[in-house]
Amino acid sequence: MTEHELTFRCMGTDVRVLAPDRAGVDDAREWLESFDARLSRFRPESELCALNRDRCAAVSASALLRSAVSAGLWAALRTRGLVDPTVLPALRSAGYGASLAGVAPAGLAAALAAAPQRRAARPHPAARWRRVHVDDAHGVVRRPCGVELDTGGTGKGLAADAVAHRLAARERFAVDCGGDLRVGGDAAQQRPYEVEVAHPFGGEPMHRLWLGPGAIATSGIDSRLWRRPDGTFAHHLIDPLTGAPAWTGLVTVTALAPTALEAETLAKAALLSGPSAGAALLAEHGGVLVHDDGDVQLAGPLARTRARAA
Amino acid sequence: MTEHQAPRRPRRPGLLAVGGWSLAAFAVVLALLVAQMRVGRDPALGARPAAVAAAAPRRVLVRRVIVKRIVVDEVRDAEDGGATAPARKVVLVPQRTAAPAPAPAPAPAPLVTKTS
Repeated sequence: MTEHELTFRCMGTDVRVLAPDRAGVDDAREWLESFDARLSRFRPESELCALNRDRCAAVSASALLRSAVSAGLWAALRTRGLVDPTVLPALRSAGYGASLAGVAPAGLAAALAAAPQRRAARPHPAARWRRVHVDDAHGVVRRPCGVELDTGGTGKGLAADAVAHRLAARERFAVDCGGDLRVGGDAAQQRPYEVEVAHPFGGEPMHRLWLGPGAIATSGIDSRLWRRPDGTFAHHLIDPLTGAPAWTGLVTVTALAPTALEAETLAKAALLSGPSAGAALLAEHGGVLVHDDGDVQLAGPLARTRARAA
Repeated sequence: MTEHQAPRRPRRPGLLAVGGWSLAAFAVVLALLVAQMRVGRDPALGARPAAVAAAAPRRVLVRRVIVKRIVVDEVRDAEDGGATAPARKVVLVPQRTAAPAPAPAPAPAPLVTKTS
């Protein structure tokens, strides 16, 4: 069977699409580039930036923007506020006001050595995200004035799922949005894709698995990592309670789930929760946790499979 | 005066008559038995069952073994000058004569999940 493959830059990362026909691959690229243009917080002309600039409580929003906001709210609900789409001001304060695409990350070992005491992140008691509402009937997003939204935390997973929906008629396909993977098609059950989980220290594969219809995503502090003018290190995973980058004892977390949105959400929530609570979050679908010292911990079904193989 | 006549004793059959009648009776009985045996009613075997179940008609299964033989005439190369008769090769499996399948495309590189 012929398989077409296309790799391109989009959403500040590498995107890879595999599908049986060229038209499907090209359609995926066109759609993803439109997605990025309309929802990037780094493009002033994007719909997301327009929403965040608007001082009205109810703002007209396209179906795509409403879907993106809904995905962010779903993630907050799923993680009880740990993956919070309203932490954009804290993210800016931490130094992530402009895109870091193409910028080499700071040294991970140095950052971990200088990081404060490890502590699990916690939801903000105010839970501002609960005051954000998507009104599909009227085509508007309602939120208190001044509450800015960042759909980036769930954007790549949502994008992978949306492309999967567009490719649903194909017998087998895969979408990789910067490490957030979605596999689909009836034939993927019999012929799954080989997936490597890259180790954050060095990038070599630390785990291999065969993924049929489903998704896998990785979240971590090793890629969007920078040094602030005061010499301290920061990254993009914010503790909603403190508004500061979360140092929890985990460097990366990879999560499996039926959809890329859920996998990305679980990976972020597990990393923010720290080692023990994070492993519990991955118990259902499975995942891989990498500790600060480089130790690799398998969770859920992956751990059971490894135990049986041993 | 009345004369009383002595009662007449019946005449005893003659020896020849008795023998003749016995022989005739034996012959009649023998003829009856022969006739009965001829029609299959052997008295020694008793009466035939009133209704003999009709034997089920035997099903005859015809098993056909079909062997497909495709005879391929291989044209010899010109090295033998074509003088010899073409070799005949018997192939029991249908053989496609279409162009050989192209080599399978190399498998794509594994997908990689990592922080981005």
